[in-house]
Amino acid sequence: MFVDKAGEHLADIMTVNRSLSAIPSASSILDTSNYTFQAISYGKDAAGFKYHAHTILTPSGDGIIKVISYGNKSASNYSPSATAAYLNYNQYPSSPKPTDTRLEPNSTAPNYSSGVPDLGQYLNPTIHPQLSSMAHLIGGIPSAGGSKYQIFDTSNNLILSGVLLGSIYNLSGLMDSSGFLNFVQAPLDIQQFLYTYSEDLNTYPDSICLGVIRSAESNFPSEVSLKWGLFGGECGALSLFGGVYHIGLWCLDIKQMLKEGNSPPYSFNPLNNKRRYKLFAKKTFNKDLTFNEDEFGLSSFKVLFQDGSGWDFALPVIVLKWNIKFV
Amino acid sequence: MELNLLEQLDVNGHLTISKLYRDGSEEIVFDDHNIIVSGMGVALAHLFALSGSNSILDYQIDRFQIGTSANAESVSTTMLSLPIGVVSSYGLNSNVITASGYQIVNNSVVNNSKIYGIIPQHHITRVDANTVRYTIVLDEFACNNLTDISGDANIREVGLFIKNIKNNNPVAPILVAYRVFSPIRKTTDFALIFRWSINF
Repeated sequence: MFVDKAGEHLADIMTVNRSLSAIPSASSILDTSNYTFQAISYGKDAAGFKYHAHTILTPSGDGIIKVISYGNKSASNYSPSATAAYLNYNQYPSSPKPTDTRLEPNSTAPNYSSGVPDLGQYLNPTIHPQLSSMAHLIGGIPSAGGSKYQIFDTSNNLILSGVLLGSIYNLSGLMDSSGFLNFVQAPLDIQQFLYTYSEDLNTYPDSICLGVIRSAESNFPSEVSLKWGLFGGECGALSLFGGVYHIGLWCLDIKQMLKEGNSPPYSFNPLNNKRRYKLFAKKTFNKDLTFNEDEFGLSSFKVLFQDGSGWDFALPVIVLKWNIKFV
Repeated sequence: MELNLLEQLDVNGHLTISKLYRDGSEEIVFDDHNIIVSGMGVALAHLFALSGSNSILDYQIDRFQIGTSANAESVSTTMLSLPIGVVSSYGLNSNVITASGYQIVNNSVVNNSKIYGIIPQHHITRVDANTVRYTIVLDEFACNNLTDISGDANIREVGLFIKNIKNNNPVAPILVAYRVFSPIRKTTDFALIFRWSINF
């Protein structure tokens, strides 16, 4: 769904003052890239931020993502929906509304909330200077080197543990601490090249590791396509923290940045991102995108998300494509 | 995942045309919705794909054409039926600022020079968060007593254009909104005011 802010964004574009072009110091405001799609983010139901790996289990300061599995005792994975069913809480994400300005309108403060911003979406606290030591409680993106995890059953028996695959988002500096995944910053012809080659990930696995790719080829100008990957480490951690039910598409909030005295160019710096974003569109799912279940006696969680399983950490577990139709 | 921008946002417009007489009285002669044509989508696709001009000003609605015939009012309309083709028809003594340029039709630049009226910045108003109003003034010296090859010609159509999405030289505007209305014979007795609101 495109939210009202998308219409506001278009009205902003139509009313940018022409006279800025005559002011050298201000003319960079007019760069088209300031007005196009610039970020993707992930979210889930608000209540879920109080459960799953957000639950504070002792010892709480050991940096290990810990979760109690309420699902099938013989399964070697984690099921957020089984947790919701067992603990009888409403796991449904809020329905998308045109007036939404964030993915989840209700509070998304986790149990460990000290200094944690309530942004309505998953954060990436691993790279936050003050929050990184509690990233295993805040969620939901693992560290670049891979995060340790433990899954217990309801009797406190350890049923699965290991180290998640390293986060491509953090290894490549693609996501800021607020959870905004950056777009590929390259000329369109290079993005086109990446988009095409990412159709064959076995041969060109790196083609999708640079962020969200935009394409203006086959159905352009009727359609603009976006494509990006959700990698094993990210997918595993997000599953432990309750899964993915929202995806947001964001543009830059130029007015807000100018109000804060932040002048262009608005380059992306994951460690100190001065960019402010405005929600343009969101997609809400009624099924967890990270859903996985054991098959043939193998732990899906281990095979897909765990370091040493043989799964290439640079190969996405999920490839997401979002087609925006214009005509 | 798939989303349709113009459909879901329900981008729409409304056009009011009035005659403004010298004594200050105003007579509304047209008041109805308009047609947002496919050019709007083409322009926005160029913007969001970063495949066109590098300047956001080239994606703004900043010009118009007046015509003396009528095309089908459909989203697939790409040009006016019979736009004014000479600068003098916009009135040599009028305040209408004109510019020439090519035009984008079916996503290609057509290399035929056309005349456009420019909408001054102060005639582009943010009405509310999602609505922009464009005011086009054909003063008492503009577009009077028009003629074409068949004789007297009345004003019958109007279109709004986005400036230059492909960064073409000369500029190649693209039609984004269109409307046909009952013929108006423009004379020096009145100015014709088009108040055109686009809701994004």
